[in-house]
Amino acid sequence: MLPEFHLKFKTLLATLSSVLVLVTPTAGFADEINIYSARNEALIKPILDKFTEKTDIKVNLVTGKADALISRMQSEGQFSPVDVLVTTDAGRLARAKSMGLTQIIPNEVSLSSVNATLVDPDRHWTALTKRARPIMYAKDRVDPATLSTMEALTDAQWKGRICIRSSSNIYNQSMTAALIEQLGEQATEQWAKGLVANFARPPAGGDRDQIRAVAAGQCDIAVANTYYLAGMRESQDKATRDVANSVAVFWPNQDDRGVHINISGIAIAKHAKNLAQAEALISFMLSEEAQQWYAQTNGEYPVVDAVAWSDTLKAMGTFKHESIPLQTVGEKNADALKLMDRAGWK
Amino acid sequence: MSRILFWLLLGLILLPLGVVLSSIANPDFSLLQHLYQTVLLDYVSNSVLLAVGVGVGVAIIGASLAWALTQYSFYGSRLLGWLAVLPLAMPAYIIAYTYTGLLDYSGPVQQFLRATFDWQYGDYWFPNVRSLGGAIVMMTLVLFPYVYLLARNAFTAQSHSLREASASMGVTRWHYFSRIAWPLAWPAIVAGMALAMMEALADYGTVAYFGVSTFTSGVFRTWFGMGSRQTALQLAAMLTLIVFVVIWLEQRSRHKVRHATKGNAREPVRLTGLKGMGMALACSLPVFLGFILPVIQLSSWAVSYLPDWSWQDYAPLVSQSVMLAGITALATVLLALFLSYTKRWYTASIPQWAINLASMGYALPGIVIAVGVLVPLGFFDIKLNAFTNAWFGYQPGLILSGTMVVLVFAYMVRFVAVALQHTQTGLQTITPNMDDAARSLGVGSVKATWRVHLPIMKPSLIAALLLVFVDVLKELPATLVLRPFNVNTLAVKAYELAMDERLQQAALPALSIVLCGILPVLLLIRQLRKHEDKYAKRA
Amino acid sequence: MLNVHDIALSYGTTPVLHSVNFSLLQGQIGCLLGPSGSGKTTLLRAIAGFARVDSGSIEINGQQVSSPATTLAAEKRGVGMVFQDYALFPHLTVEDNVAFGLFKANKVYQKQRVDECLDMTGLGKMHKRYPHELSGGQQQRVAIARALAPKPSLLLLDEPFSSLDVSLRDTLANDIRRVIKDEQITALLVTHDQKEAFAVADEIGVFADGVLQQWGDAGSLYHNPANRFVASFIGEGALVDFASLDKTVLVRPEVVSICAGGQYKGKVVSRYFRGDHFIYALTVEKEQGITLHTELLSCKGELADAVDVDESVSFDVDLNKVTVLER
Repeated sequence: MLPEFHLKFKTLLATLSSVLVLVTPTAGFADEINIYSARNEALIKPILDKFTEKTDIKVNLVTGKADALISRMQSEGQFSPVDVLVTTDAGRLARAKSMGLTQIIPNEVSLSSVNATLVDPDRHWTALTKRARPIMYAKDRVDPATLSTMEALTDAQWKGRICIRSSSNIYNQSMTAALIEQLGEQATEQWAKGLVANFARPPAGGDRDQIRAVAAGQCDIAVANTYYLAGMRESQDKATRDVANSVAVFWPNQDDRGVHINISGIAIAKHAKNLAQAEALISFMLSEEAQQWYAQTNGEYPVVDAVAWSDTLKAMGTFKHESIPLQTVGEKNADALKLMDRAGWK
Repeated sequence: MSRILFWLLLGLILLPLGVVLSSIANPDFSLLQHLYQTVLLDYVSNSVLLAVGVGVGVAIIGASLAWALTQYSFYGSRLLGWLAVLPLAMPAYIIAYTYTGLLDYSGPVQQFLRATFDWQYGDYWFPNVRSLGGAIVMMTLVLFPYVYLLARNAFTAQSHSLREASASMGVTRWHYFSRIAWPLAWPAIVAGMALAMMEALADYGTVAYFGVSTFTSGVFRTWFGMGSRQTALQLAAMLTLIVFVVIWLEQRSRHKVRHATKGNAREPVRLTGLKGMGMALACSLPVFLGFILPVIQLSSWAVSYLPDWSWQDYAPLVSQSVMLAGITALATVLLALFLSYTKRWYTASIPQWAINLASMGYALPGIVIAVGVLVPLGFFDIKLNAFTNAWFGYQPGLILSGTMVVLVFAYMVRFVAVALQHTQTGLQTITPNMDDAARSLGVGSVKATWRVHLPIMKPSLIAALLLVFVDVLKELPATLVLRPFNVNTLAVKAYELAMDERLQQAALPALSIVLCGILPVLLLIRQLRKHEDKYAKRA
Repeated sequence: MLNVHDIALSYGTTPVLHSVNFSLLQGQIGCLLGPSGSGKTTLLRAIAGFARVDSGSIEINGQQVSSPATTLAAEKRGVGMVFQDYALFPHLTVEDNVAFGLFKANKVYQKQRVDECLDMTGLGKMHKRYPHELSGGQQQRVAIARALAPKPSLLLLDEPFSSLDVSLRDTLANDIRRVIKDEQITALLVTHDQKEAFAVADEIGVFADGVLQQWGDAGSLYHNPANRFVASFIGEGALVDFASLDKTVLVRPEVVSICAGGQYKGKVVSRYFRGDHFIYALTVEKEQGITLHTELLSCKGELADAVDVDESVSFDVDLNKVTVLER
């Protein structure tokens, strides 16, 4: 039985592997671009489709968790097929840069329209959109006069009234990292502990869940990203719109450092083969057309000042935001997470 | 030669595990200390509680259901016997999202309660779905078929003379179940429990969504949040240790009971009237909660959001998912067959623990396998390209790590355990004496494969193929990391949408996974039916 | 037609048998008898071709099939085997099981032969049943029919009675013997139960301690045991030293009789009813010129002269009928 079975097994294995090799795409056709995106497909595909329409460049997309993508880039080394990396936060871009996975965006691509604090000083990455993380409160239960800063949320009056998502989420980590940078570790740890003491429930769900919890009465305050609220306010489902409209936005820390912001951004991979296409993509993403789409359809703040905000965003009001260089947020991410662990922020 | 190949393949399967364990060599003590002071205890206790809770849950539900449906017949019992496996088609994180949507504070159930009784938040107690307990319940609801299937087999194989002997000694039905039937079926039940527990330990989607800190969420957190892949791997190594314990316990308990009794299955007891109805209701509860109710909810969501989907977006998802699952199922079962047979022929030189090791992959989180597989394959690709470039000036690119090979490899590492369970049990029914009997009748080894082994193994092989198919369809984390460009699966799509809190939109791909998974499950049912009908006749 | 010549065998790496010599003529039924673990099954498997021999040779019909250098494959030997657990193929019906070894013949012949074999073993109506639907005894018969179907030159049976009810054993023993004799084939069976050995076999080999202790027919073994082991293993009896004899003798129950005024004194410890007679177990008083190697002495008694348990008795031993042991 041995030799016969062996033979059959080997032939099957051979057939399978040849099928697989056939089935897989080989490297580089003309006019293509390969993207690793931490933004999930639904949020980025529409604008990429527009890009393809306009430039005839085919887009090959892999979405996933930013760190997994960066890890993959690292192990792929010089044979990595990826051309650009798109992330949902600044920290990851900084990390990719520090690992030597990015290259300078050529001068042909104009970054002048973007606010300087949102661009890497070495031109390894640039922001594409901006989002803020304000306080959202229940209109019928909270008097905005009682709100002021993020630090004030540790007051006893807010006990059992705050909803915020888990510390494992990158937005909270960046927010905490920014606080460490601006307030120092000790003060930030105090703040985190105080905040945790005021939680209405152990962190669960995403940003939208926090907003819904406020609407349902489980808590009175939520901390969430602006585009989630914007998306809910424009939803086709009436129930969702009602929920979104039952909360209002409060911009904390307007008298000092400003509200926390983060970005989604893009960088060119070190071993990119389709350099021209990568440049074209970045230019496109920073063009008025793309920025407007982000503003109108995605509910995010454009990084090109000339582009107007959507009405929904305008209704939330203008605000002052933090002005720290964003790569520090990436550098302090690990410290932020440890701090949140110590504070018991699950 | 076969032996060499055996150890080679085993080595490949264990490669990711090796990568994980080798990370222990470089511990980051300060980080480990930080983890120890803060969250490590949580990880351990939650992971252990989760595994134990799921293990106990699936054992109770799976075995009781199998018992009720094999010992009694009532209106609908035949149908229920087959429907009970449907939850296999439902991924755990999908059912988690669905019930959260239904039962959460802002969901329809609680809203209804508040409206009817005029309660406010804090006035009433309602179980919190998003908790450790909730996670246990969710996973139990979709994993109990593992135990159910194996227990069902075991119970039908038990001779009725056992029951009659004990009845004549005045042993009540309950006593018979707890003292005799259950212990005899114990190896099968434990095997099912072990599978369910390993899957529970490796889950990421459910615990992440529910905010339960287990080892898997800890691995993600340490890796992504703290940027320390080393420490993340070390946490994964600790998780693997827990799994070793689970498997060791399973092996130990299996040793104590050797043989199921030979003999004829008894005729089921007929239940009618209230008793019958009550039993029917009780037995339909698991499949209702684990499958029917979530499918109804998902369907209603999918229908209301159907206009958001276009055929061009949807069709490739389905075809790619099915293709990946099909190829992997075939390759995995072939691998399991090879391993099982080589062990059988060379029993002396291949110890039992070698086969058990091959099942290790099931316990590693998908994401860890992904890294464990990517690193060596990527390394190989780079070396290969350097070589061919130097000699032929040709760079084939990342033929392993950049194509579906790496993904299928990762799937195989993870799911060979499932296939092995079935090939091993299947082979066990072919006694060595049967092989010798065939030879004594002039039928050599090759012919014997076709005439004896294949027909007897057929149900096991089909079960293995179908189960691996469904598992690959549902797989998430490894797929997220390893898929090549422009390859997207239903699971990835559903996950992205759900994590983006577009649950209603996620319903369509989620439902598709379930529907694609139903077909193999139905085939599995048909297979079981034929198998059992054969063995159900009395002498 | 079967020649086992100076065989030494191991089970794995442990040697189990050595210096085994015996033969069977065509049509004879042989039996390997001995306690469990004495290597009998290993020897059977070696004859079937499933185990190698360390030294010596096995010949079937003049052809050497096993030697340390070469082993003819089992599937080429034309040796049929009935396994202890029957090893029926669960996925095949009874008739398909029996027809399994007939694949070289045409369908007509197959059907005919299957009918023949099933009739022979008393399973004429069971063609379409599956093994799991049959009782143990019926499965046993199917295994025998299956082994016989290809008309093997030698039939081997491994503990054919071990998993059956006692009441079935006698019937089966008779049936097996009849079937084998009718088919005029040579057979060799392995058992640890001497009753079955006596019922079925023409020649019996007693195995213990890795060697063949004695090979012969039932009568020789019973009346002329070659050594102490065979003497105490075969039949009932006790090893006794008498003051008047210089060798140890085997005392069978039938040469001991309880009578008034007997030469020796003892006490009845238990009594067994054996249908047409009793067997008593006696303890014997010391210092009588009779020393037992065992605790008790068996004695046969008539039903009419029943003695109760715990009675003290006197008894005689017919020294002319004791079996003298050389070793």
